[in-house]
Amino acid sequence: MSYCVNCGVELDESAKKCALCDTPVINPKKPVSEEQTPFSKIEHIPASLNHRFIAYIISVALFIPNIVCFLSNAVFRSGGFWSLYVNATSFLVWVLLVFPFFTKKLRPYLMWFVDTIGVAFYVYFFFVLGFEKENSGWYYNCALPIILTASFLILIFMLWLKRKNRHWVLKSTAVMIIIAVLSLVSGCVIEYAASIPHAFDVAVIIFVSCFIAIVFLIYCYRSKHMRRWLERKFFI
Amino acid sequence: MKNNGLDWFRLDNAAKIFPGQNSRSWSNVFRLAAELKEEVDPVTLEKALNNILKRFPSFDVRIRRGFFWYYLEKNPDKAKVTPDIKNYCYRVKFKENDGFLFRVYFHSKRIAIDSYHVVTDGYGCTVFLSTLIGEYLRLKEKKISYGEFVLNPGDLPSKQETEDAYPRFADSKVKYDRKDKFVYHAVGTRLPMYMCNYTVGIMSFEQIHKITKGYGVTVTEFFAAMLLDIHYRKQLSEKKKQKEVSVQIPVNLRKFFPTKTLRNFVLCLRVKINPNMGEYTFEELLKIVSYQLRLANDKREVNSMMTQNLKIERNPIARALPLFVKNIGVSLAFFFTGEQTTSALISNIGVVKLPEEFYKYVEKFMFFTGPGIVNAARCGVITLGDKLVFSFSDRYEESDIEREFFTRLVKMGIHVKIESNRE
Repeated sequence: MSYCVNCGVELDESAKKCALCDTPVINPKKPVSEEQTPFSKIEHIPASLNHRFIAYIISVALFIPNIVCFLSNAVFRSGGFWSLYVNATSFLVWVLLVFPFFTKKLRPYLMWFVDTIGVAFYVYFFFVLGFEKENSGWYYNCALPIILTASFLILIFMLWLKRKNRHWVLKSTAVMIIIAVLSLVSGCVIEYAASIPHAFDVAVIIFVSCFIAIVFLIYCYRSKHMRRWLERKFFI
Repeated sequence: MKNNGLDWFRLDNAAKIFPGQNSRSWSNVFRLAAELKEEVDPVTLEKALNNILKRFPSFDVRIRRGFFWYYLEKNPDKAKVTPDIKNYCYRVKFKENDGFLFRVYFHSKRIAIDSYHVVTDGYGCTVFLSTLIGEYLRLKEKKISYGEFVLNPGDLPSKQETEDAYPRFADSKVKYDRKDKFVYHAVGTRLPMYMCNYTVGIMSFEQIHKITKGYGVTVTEFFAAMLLDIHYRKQLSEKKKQKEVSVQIPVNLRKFFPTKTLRNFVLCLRVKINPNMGEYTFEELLKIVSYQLRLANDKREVNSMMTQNLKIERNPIARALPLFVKNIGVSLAFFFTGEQTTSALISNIGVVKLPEEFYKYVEKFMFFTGPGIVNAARCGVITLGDKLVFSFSDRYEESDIEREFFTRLVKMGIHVKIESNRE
C-alpha cells in the first residue's frame, strides 16, 4: 500500500498520483498496478450532449441552401453575383456560431484567431467583391487596420482576464479603454486613409467621453470614501 | 388490473418536483454500489435483476406524461446490466435504457445502481441493491437467508411497499415557515457538463464513532459540522461579502412514521450559520449543528414541513394547470429554493444491516449523491460492518474541499483510504 506524503491518506494500488493533491506516487517496492482500477475508465457521453453532431447537422443545413444559391447564380448570371451575399453571411454565421462546437473544449485563442480571419474575409467578400469591385483600396487602408486593431485589443483583454478574476468595475474600465483606443484608431484611419472629413473629431469626442468614464470608474474602485458616498446617495 | 393492482402509480409527493427539473445540467440521479469479494458475473447479475424486479413493482416502471401530471407505468421490457462507466449519475432520459429509471452496472467486483430519485430514495435503493446481491449470490449457489435489508424475491410485494407515505402521515395543523436565503457556494473550474469527479474515503466506523462520541454528537452531525466549517473558512479566505453557509441533510422519515414504503420518504433539513455574526470555532459549530439538527429533526417539525409540501400539491389551482405550465413553475421554484439555498449536501444512509452470511461475500457499500449544479461538495455516507464510506460528488476540477476534509480526519488519527475517478 502507498500513502500520500502530503495528505497522509492511503492510496489505491492503481493510483499514479494522490487524488487530493496531485502528488505523484513513487514507491519502488510497490509499483503502480493498473490492472484493477476502482473506477471504470469508460467515459459515456450522453447523446444529447454531442455538440459536434449538432454542429455537423447545422453545417449541412447551412451548406445546402448556399450551394443551391451558388449554382442558381452560376446559371442565371443576369443579376450579378447576388449569391455572394448569402454565401458570405452564412460563412460568418458558421465561423462565429457553429465552429466553436467542433472543438472538444472551449479554446478562446483559437476562436479569437478564426473569428478575426472570418470577419476580415466577410468584409472583403461582402463589400469589396459585392459592392465596390473597382475600388478595393479602402479595404486594405481602412477596414483591415480597424479589424486588426479591434482584434488585437480583444486579445490583450482576454490575456488580462485570464491572469486572475477581476472586479466588475475593472472589467467595465477595460471595456471603456478598448472603446476609447478603437475610436481613436478608427478616427485616424477613416480621416487620413479614406479621406472622410471630421471623422477624427468624432473619434476625439468618443475618446474624451470614455476617458471621463474611465477616470470616474478607477476613482470609484480605489476610493472607499467615494464608494460609501455613492452607496449612501443611491441606495435602493 | 394486472400485477396485483400495481401497474401504474402516481408520483409520490417528493418525486413530483424531479421530472420538471430534469435537464442537461441537473437530474437527480444517485448511485449505490456494493463491492463483493469476487469478480461479478454479468450474465448471472442480469438474471438476478430480472428475477427480483417483480418483487419491486415500483422499480419496474417507466415514466409517462399525463395531461396534468407525470405517472409511472409497468415497464414491459427486460432490464439489462452494462459495464460501468467513469461519469456515472448522468441525467436520465425517459426514453433511453428501455424506459427504466435506474441503470445497473458492473465493474470488476462491483455492482452499482444509478437510480433516478423519482423511483426511490437512498433507503429504498439500499433494499433493492441488497436484494439484488442476495439473488445474485443465490444463483451462484451460495447459502443465504433473507431478512434485514434483503427481501425474498419469491414473496408478493405488499401494498405498503409501493405507497406514497406522505399523505398518510402528513396531518399537522401548523403552517411551516420556510425562509431560505441565497447562500455561499465554493465554486471552481467547471468540468464538462457530463463529467463529475468522485472521491471516496474509506475509514473505520469504530474510529469515527469514538471521536464523535467524545464530542457528544452523531456521525451525521460531525460530518455536517466539518463541511460547514470548511465552507465557512473558505469563504473567509476569499475576502468577499460574507453570505450564509448552509448544509442540507436529508432525513429518513421512516424512523418517525411506520411504513414499509420503498418509494421516496425523505425530507431535507438545513443547518446554517451567518459568518457576519462573528467568528466560530469548530467546537462551536459542532454544538450549533447538533442543536439545530436536533430541533428540526423532530416528528412534529417534519410533519408540519411534510404537510406544507402536500398543500402545494393539493392546491386546486396548481392541480388544474397543464403539465408544461407546472414544469415551468417547478423550474422557477427550484431556482429559488434548490441549490442556491445550500452550500453543501450530506446524505447519510446509516448502517446497512444484512444477514450474517452476506459479510463473507460483500466487502463494502458505497453511496454517491450525484453531481449538483453549483455545489462542490455533495456527500454520501454509508456503513457496512466497520467500513464507513464517505463520498464526494464534485462538478469542479479543484479538490481542495475533499483534501481539507480528509486531511482533517487524518490529523484526528483516523486511517483514510482514498479512491477516485480523477486521473
